[in-house]
Amino acid sequence: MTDELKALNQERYARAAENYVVSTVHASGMGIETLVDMVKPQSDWHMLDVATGGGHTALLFAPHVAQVVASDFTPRMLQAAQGFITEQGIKNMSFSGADAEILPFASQSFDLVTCRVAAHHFPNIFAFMREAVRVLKPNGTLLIHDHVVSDDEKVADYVNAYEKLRDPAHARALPEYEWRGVFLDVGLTIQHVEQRTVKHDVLPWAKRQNCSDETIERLQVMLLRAPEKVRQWMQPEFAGTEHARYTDHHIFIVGQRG
Amino acid sequence: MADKTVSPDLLEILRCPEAVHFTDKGDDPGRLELVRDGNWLVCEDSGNKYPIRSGIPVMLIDEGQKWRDTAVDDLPVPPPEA
Repeated sequence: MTDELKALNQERYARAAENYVVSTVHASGMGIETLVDMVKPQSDWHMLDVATGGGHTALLFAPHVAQVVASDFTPRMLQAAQGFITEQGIKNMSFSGADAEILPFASQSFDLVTCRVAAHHFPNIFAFMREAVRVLKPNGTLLIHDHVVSDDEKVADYVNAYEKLRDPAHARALPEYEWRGVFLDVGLTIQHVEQRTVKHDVLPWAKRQNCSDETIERLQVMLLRAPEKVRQWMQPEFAGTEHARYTDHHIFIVGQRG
Repeated sequence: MADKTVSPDLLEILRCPEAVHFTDKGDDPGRLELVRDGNWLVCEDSGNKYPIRSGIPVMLIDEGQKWRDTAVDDLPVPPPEA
């Protein structure tokens, strides 16, 4: 299952690579410009951006650090990101194909590891977190930004099923309490946690993953028929119309290695 | 040397993702050597060989193991697309 999910990720994101490079949500959504203030990077830092996708996080931090390595499991995605970054005139960035759960770097190589809007794809988030801590220097910083689900298990299951319908490579988004537990388990001191919400327009969101018309119809039906507790979490609007949208919840966690 | 290859800074920290976890290969296992005019990375500890495509090293264990039995001199230049 693990390998199947990883292969599915690679195949789907290779096809959607350019869509992610130009995605406004990944480039500037969720107020990502505030992440620099959240982390306070230093000019001599070496940074790793795991599952860089379109390269937007790496690009955001590049002017603030000495060196950035942008990694991704999908080579096609990295080539798209490399083209995009080169166009921006960035000189302190390099790229590497990498499995987030088995990172190809020496231990204690980085002052900062970031991973944005990707951990919900990882079959084994704990394995990724262990690797992230391994490659961090002592006192190094880990920033995670990802989808987050409700602490209510049934609501969480519904939202994860909804996300998986759009993107079969979606593994599982965690609730905040689980994220907090994982950070502590791998030996990180949590320095900052916050949740933010963003409205997703269903049609462009689904089309970024090249969803079929049938899948889009099922996404609409799941919004229309959502149980009350799910409605409170997803806050669907205009369900069943071309303007359908819902509220997506995100979490930002910053931790420091001891 | 290939038009695009791995920078010295990246090569300094890049390791074979399999061998970096070895416990019987010294303090810094999984070091990599650039071969074939900068088109491949070879790990002596694991025997894995990783292609560099468009200047990007493909550091996935499955990819590295696929070329383990290929002699360095026989590694194709440029590496074939996946």
